[in-house]
Amino acid sequence: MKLKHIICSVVSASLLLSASSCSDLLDKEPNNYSTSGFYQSEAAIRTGLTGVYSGLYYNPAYLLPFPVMLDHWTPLAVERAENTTIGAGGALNPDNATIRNWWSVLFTVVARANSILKGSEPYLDRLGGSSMQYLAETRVLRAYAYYNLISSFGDIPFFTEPVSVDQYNTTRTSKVEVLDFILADLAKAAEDLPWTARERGRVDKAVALGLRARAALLGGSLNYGGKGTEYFRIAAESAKSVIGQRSLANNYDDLFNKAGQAKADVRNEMLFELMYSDQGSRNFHYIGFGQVSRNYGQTGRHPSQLLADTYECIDGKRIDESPLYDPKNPSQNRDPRFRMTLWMHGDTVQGNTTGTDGGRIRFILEGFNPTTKFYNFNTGQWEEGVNADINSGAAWTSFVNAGMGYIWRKFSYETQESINAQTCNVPIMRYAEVLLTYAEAKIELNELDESVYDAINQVRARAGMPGVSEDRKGNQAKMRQLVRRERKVELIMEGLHFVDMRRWDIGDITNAGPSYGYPVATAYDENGYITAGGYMDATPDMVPNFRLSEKHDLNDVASYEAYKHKLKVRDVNRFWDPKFQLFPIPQVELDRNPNLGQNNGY
Amino acid sequence: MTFKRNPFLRSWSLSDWRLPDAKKMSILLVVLSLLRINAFAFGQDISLSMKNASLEKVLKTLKKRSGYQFVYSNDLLAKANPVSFDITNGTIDQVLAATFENQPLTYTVIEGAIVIKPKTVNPSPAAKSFETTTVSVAQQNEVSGIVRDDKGKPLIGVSILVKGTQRGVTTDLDGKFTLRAEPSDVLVFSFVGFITQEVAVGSKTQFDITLAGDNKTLDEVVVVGYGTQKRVNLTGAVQSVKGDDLMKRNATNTSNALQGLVPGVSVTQPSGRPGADGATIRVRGTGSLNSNSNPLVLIDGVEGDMNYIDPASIESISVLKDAASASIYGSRASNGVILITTKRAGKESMKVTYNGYVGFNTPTAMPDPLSAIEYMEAINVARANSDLAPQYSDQLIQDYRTLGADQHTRYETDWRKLIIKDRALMHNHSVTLTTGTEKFRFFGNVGLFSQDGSIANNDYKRMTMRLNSDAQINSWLRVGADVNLRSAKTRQPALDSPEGIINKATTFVPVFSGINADGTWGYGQNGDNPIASAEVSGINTSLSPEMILKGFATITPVKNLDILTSYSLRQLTTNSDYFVRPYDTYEGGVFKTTYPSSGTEKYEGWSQLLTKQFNLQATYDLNVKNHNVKLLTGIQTEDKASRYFGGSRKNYNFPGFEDLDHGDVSTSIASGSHWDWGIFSQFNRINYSFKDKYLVELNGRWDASSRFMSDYRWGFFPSASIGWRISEENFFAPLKSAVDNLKLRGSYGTLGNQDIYSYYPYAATISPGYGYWFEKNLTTGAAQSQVANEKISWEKSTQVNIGLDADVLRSRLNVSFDYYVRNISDLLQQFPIPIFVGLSSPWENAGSMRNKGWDLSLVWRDRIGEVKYSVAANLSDVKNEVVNLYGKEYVGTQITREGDPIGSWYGYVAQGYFQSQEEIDASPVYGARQNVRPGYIKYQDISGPEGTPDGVIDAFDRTIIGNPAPRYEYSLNLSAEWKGFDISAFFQGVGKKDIFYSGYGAFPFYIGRSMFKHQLDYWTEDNRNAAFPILLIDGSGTNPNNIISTHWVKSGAYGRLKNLVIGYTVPSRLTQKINLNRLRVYASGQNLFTISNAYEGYDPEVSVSSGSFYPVMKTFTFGLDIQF
Repeated sequence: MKLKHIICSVVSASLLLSASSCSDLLDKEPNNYSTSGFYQSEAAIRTGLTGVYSGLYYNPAYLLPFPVMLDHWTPLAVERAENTTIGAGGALNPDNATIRNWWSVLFTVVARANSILKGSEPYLDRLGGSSMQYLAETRVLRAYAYYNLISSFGDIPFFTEPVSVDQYNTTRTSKVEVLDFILADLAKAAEDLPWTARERGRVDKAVALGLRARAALLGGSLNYGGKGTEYFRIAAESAKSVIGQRSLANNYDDLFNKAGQAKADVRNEMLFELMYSDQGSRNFHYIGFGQVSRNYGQTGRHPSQLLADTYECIDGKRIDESPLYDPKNPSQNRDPRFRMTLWMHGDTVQGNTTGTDGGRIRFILEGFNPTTKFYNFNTGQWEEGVNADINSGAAWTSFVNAGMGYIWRKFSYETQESINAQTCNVPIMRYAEVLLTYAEAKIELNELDESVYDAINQVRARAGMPGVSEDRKGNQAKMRQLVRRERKVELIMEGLHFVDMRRWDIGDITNAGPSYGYPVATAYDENGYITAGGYMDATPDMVPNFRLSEKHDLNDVASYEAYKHKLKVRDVNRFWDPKFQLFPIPQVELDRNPNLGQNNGY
Repeated sequence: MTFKRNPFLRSWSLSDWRLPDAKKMSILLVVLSLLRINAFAFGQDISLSMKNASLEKVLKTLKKRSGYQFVYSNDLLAKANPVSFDITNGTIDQVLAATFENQPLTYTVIEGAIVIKPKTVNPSPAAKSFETTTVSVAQQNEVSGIVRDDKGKPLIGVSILVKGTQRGVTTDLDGKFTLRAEPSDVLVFSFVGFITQEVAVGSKTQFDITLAGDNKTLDEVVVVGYGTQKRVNLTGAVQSVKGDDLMKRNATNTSNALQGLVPGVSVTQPSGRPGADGATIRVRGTGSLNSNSNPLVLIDGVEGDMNYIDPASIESISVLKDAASASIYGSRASNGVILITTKRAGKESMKVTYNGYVGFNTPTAMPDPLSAIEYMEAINVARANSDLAPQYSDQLIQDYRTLGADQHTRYETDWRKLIIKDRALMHNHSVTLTTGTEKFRFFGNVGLFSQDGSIANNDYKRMTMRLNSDAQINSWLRVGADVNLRSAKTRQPALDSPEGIINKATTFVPVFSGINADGTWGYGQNGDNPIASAEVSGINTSLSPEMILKGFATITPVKNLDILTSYSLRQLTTNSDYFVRPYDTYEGGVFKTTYPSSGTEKYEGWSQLLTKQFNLQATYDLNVKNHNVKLLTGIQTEDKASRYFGGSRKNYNFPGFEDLDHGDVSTSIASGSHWDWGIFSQFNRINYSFKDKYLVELNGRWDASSRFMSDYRWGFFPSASIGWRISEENFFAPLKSAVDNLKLRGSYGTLGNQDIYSYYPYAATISPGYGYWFEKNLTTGAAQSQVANEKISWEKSTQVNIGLDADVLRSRLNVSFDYYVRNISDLLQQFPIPIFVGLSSPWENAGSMRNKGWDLSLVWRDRIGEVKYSVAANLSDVKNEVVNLYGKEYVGTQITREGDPIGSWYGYVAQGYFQSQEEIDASPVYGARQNVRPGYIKYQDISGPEGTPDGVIDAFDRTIIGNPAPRYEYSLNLSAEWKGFDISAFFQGVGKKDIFYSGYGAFPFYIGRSMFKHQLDYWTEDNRNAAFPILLIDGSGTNPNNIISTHWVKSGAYGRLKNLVIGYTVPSRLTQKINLNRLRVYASGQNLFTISNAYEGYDPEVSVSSGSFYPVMKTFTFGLDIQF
């Protein structure tokens, strides 16, 4: 009996033990916040909004922020592989992964914003502090995503609340309707925002209205719903309201490196930036490293000759019109932004700076010879060394072999840190753009007054260029030419030309043929050194023809036909199809919801 | 004096000869049997002449000449007469006959030893009895007979004992014996390698005994869920592997050792990386679309990792393949169950064994990179093919030819040679101690395994200790405690993964600088120099101690009722840290960059997984006449909790001071999280057998998982199986002599799976990890990333299994065949939802798929004369078909859609190359027409938007072009033993499988990389049937020849000599001299040769995704087994 007692007690004790722990065992809590009822406090909204901002980091390739990438899909720049620029049809098909990701990133921002806006709705009357400001920021970010979606894809699926299961087979909403929504929403959001955000990185009233102007300009230029004029007016008014609230930085060069961006005047011009930092878990990008000389880094992206030739001479005239232009020395007597944006053969290039003694490199960019000069920081002497742009395993993608003769200085000239892990911010919107948007909208409305000239002059004057010449004043076509030229040279690599090219409908002429570049060498000695050709033999007649047609002239599109045999050529198969005006809807999205329908031509 | 120099005799206490002779002899017999000294060949020529020599001298001479061991006591020799004879070319028989002709002694040959003993008073002419007068023998009769093996050949030296006494004899050279026995006695016939037989004497005086070969198959006991079962009584598909068979393989871990041993269990070793070379195991095909497809691995009932234990401590591994045998594990068992039982001590005296080997590894295959000159010429060809000017001038190439590379202005780097070692060291040591008494038994094992990698700073060390103890407290209570400790350490370069470094070693451009003439690091590709990455970029260390404690008690309150309760705790900790140490790069004497530019960085992380498991179960055996019932019922709780945290800092300015505290505080980062879940289960089993002829088994298990909402939490997983042992039927009797066992089995059952990677799939949650940098400071952000589904519940699979087991020809041939259909339903999956939702898809229970297959295993064991050999062959196949996905599909380079196997390769059909512009003009092309030229791959126009060929090559022309899942897996194990030598050869292979090669590993000049020698066979006007298309520089991975097509899909079928072992067990007469019971030396080789159709340089087993891989190793080892 005793034995039985022991057994019984052991067994029942064990059973009790397990039974009592059973509920503990099975009722486990997830380790993250539950969605229901989350957005009822200022802290929750702020945390969620931060999540929306983080959705802006989109790197289509190798930590390359999208604004920089977008402009490389235009003829003002080229990617390193032949004939592959997405913007001009290279691999532009519904299966393209980059396009699918672009679509996905933007809708992720929309979804996160919608869940905050919808989730906070029941609590609006008792939310305090900066909640309203945060909700307004959320609207601006959502509008920014929608702007990019309609400019890239045209009509799109459109939601202002989290997508429900029965909306999975929705059809597309007209881009006009989407545009009208964001214009209204931005105006509303602006009411709850300060002109300048207290915390750098946040969107503010200047961004809300600046974005409203940018979006309206899109609708105006493409005459959305036949309401072009109406949109130009909204663009002009929105931009005008920002004018005077912010100001331009003193120095153009300061805008694109870490040291310059720390200055107060630069902060004032920067309306909306993608934020990078070397603090804590550090957030960096590879813009500089991916575009410099092969002697230090990659040359994955190249500025084009077309861009270089768009810069005026210092007298304010186009190179085919100015007596100051010298084909042997193209960078002489040019708009100062030429040298602040581009490096070319013969320039002294700052390869790298880490801030300490180690890790510096300075050399002469050499377009023709297998060696070049490097500066020895220990001895203070210049020494001959291997020129990796010509003589290395990686030279096939150098500016010499894959480029037009230039490399980007913009974002590469860094004085405070190494360019292979840069932490300078990437501008999404600057005050300069707002000024030029105002000018363009007013020009399109043919309301040419002093405010227009003043807006353009502010931008030009900061760069050191003369103001609007008298012969342009009052001439809509000439002003149109000037403002377009100004947008290109001022804002290149900031993701705006990608849309401008479509707004101005110039893809057909800029993408009509190959890209031509620097004058190639014609003779080499047995060591591979140049003996003839290149810039040495450039002749005064080697000036491109901008007047192939009125449209070419208006948009500063150069033709090199006359001396193209002397020039480096790239993308021989470049072509244009009107369907490229819009991206295709990603195929997988159509597979999942055929009701969306494909854009024309794909 | 002889015996004093003979430790063998001394150790067995025979020297003082105090024991009765019979006892001495029986001990000797047993010992000799144990030692497995093989019978020797008579008929050897001996010429010997003796004149009045002492018997001792004669024996010594004979020993020297013949190698035979003589066993005798000195007292005995004292009685001997002098010996004289003269024999020329005689046999040992003749010599021995002459030697003992006039002696009061006689001899017996027992397993190669010659035992000398006194002649009995009344010797029978045929038998040499060693029966003595110590037992009174009043009513004894003389019985005699002959013992033969199953082929009718007389067996020499068979021990015949009267049961319960020490009386006995051994058979003579003719297999005959004579002894005295009472009619009530039982004679026990035993001989090594044969099944012991007992025969009652009765009135018989003449016996003709046949001993059956002992392969233990009929009595074999197999471990099954929560218990054991006799193999013949199994009704499910269970296959068992012995620990010794695993040991033989000398594999780096248990999962690899399992390869090919069990049909239907697909084992693939995808990597050769030390410490990470565990195999992927699939039991009867892939069991799930999205959730885990790994089988449940239980080590002594506790979930664990089979690669964490020393193979020397494994007693057996059972694989529960069908639903019926696995369903006792219900919710966890849907992908099959692997039960590992570790060794425990029996009642035995202390035994210590050592197993050790040392060897080296060398990659089975590596692709050959181009030389600098070949590279430059090929690049120029590729550029010319795109109308681009040459990149390398003729002058430069000429300079490489005439002047060579100076590593200053002209570089040539053989990355592969500089990075990948020819051979890497590997060694393993394992010591086992077992001892036991009636009351207490102990098994202890300590193991050390160490393996170097193929690149610098990459190695693995594993130390294991297992202590299993059992105590019988009293007649009804038995308790035990097991302790298992492990520590494993892996090291690898900090900056890049070993796979990444190996990828670069094979694909980096040869004209990049690796090591400069002045000894500085070259600039490589943008500073990335894989040689420096491997050698000096810092070390990433992972140290993972594991502790498993288990206590159990078995109570037997009444006969046949066992109540078992056990509790186990498993604590798996991983401490990882790395320190990134950037290096400076130079080219042409000029400083280029410090790589990486992000500077020094130290990370330390800690994670822990705690598993607590409680079991309470009762089993009851009931035997009433011919009915046998076994009942099992029990509960189990399992609680898993995981936590982790980690932190890092950058910028360490003082070399040597590398603690986190020494780093820049402003770069400090910390993170941490946790998850936990639990399962409660109740399980029951009934086994019923009638006359051991009709077998029935019923299982039922209920599981509740915390990972589902309470309404969807419980799952019930029943199964039933039946068996019919046809061989036990009366009508089968005529066949019984040929077929020992024939059984038909059938089973049906349901299993569950909850193992999806999301821990709380039912909950819509907002998770942190979405920060943004306001004012350059990181700010916490959160977002919902996935749509939730509150109704998420168990994935289920049902399986029908029909099997046949046969043991034929006196159990020398074992055949086992199974056919099964496995239906997996309520698939846990994430149906793609539109991207515009902005969240990833929710988990759903939807859709179904089916695995159909069969497993066949054949084993033949026999001996030819003194050669014992066995042949084991396995063959299996499984075919997967997705049955229902509600018309949806998962598409990428692989497609999963209804009616086809999951993850089938999906792409274009290549039709050779375009050979002329006319052909291009007349054909549909992929991409922009103006880009296509002769030498491009021509694709087949299969379909279009309207379902018919449309003259355009686009997404509509994709079709299924291969199946990556292996089919027709086979293995063949040949082994033989002869006189202490053993040899085994293990072949293994896959009959059908398709591999898609892509990325850096397959495409020439893919995104800035080089190409391989075998790719020089590219298309040109003069080489139109080339292996590769026209050479192009593929700078961004958009080369239309490089899209997925049949061109890049190769057969992954292979056959390989997986393992070859040649061993020699030193005869015990030699080992005894140094006090060893057993000494075996062996040489072994793994992956010695392979026949495959894979791309040159790639192993067919390893996964070469985009050229990032760690080669599987060819291994040569030399080992030693010692038993003290």
